[in-house]
Amino acid sequence: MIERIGAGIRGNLVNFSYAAGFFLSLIKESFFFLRQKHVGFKVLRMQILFTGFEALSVISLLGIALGVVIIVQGLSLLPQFGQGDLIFTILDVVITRELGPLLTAFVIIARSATAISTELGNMVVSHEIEAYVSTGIDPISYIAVPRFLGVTISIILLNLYFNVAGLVGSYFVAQFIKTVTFTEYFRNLLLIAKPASIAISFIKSFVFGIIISFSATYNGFRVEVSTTEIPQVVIKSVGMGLTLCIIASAIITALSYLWF
Amino acid sequence: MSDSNYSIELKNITVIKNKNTVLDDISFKVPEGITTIIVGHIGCGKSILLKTINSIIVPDSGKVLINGKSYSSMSASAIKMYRKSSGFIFQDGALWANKTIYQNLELPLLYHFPDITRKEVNNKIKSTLDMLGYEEDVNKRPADISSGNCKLISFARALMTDPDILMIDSPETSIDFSSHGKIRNIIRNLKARGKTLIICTYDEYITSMLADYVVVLFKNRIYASGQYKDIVTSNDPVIRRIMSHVLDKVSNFDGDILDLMNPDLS
Repeated sequence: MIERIGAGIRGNLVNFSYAAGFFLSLIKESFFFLRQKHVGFKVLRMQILFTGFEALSVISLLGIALGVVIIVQGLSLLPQFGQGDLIFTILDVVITRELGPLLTAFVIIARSATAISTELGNMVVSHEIEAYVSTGIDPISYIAVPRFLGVTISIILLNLYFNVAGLVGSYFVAQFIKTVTFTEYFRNLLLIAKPASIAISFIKSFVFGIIISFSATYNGFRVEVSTTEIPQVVIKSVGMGLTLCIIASAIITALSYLWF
Repeated sequence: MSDSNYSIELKNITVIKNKNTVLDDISFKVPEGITTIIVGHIGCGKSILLKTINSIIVPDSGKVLINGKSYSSMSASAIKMYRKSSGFIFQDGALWANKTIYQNLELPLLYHFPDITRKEVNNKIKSTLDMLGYEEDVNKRPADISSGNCKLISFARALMTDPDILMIDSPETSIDFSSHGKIRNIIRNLKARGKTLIICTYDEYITSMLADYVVVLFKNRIYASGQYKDIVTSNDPVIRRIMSHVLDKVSNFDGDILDLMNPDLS
């Protein structure tokens, strides 16, 4: 019994040290990315295309839908309590600070983290990763780093886009349900939007990007020999990404209230 | 394109996979400039040994020495130089499935020669494919060509940087008859050019005609190693059994016929 517990702890420590080593390699190689731009830029460009550009429609839909719900519900309920102006604060907090980065992260986890883990897992099984090693191409710098950078850059841009869709796009859609004066809406929105909110939103999307791309590549590379391991690592990648993003979001929010 | 020779030595290598010892205390120096054949029964660790020699697999204990220096302590630039001078041909080709044949071949060149021009890349790819006898469209993906052609492209990819050392895992596996002949010719040409070749194979032709040195693996250990002639004339029952399995088409290990097939032995 004690032996098994000890073996379990030892196994977790080994896994943790491997993950920490992988993460440090990823960060280190990211700094040297420009050194091999002649081969890595294409992979980075493709990753931004898949993760960022191709997710625009989903992000638009989510952003607009969330914005519309907040505007319609807020304009119906808040005036009843004499707090009609709070709608702009709620829009800022919910879309810019909290749900914007988090929902964008969820979309990226569902679309790209799963795809990256599956792709890397298949590459391990078909010995393609070994082929990179034998050719002298470091799989971390050539395969993981462009995905790491691509996902992080994409999530920052998508979060920005989510904000535009949620705050601006939703206004126009909400007009079909509840009429709000154009100048009043945007004037109040600009009054509420503080640099702190934008900074928090940016920090969150940046951290989420790192978490998601790390968990996707790390778990993808953990496949050893069999294709049956691939769905298992995809589940781990999604679970790890979701859990760490939610924890990171809570920590950043808590710190932001202490600092700002 | 490469200009340096490397000596490779394995010191007390042990590899454990899923709690099973697949290589057990292997020590072996790769002979330079000649053809070494690794033989043994299925599952005795031949491919793992070949990948360990190439440092694709990191051993659980022991060291792989490249020019006397442990691979694990080599700098990134030294590893890159070594990789440029060595090539590995995988049993299943292991071509990059998300790239076209052309992209599979250009990547090692672009990576190792950042200043290479597009024209030089095209010329190198064309000359290598011509030499190997590949005639299909290079814009196809690996999934769109036959397994024999995949193997040829795997050879081409390994040869892109003109390496001095080539490790070839089961060149005869999953290929058609015509590709078989092409691959035998490629290996023969590489041997004639003085490359260091290390081959895991069951192919009686490659073994009997091209082997200079033989490593016999048995129960995950090196059972015997030595010059081809010494191994092939050994009276040891284990060696005889393994060699007769490899050379089964050569009259079940008949010394006279072997001598006829390989005049260097006599």
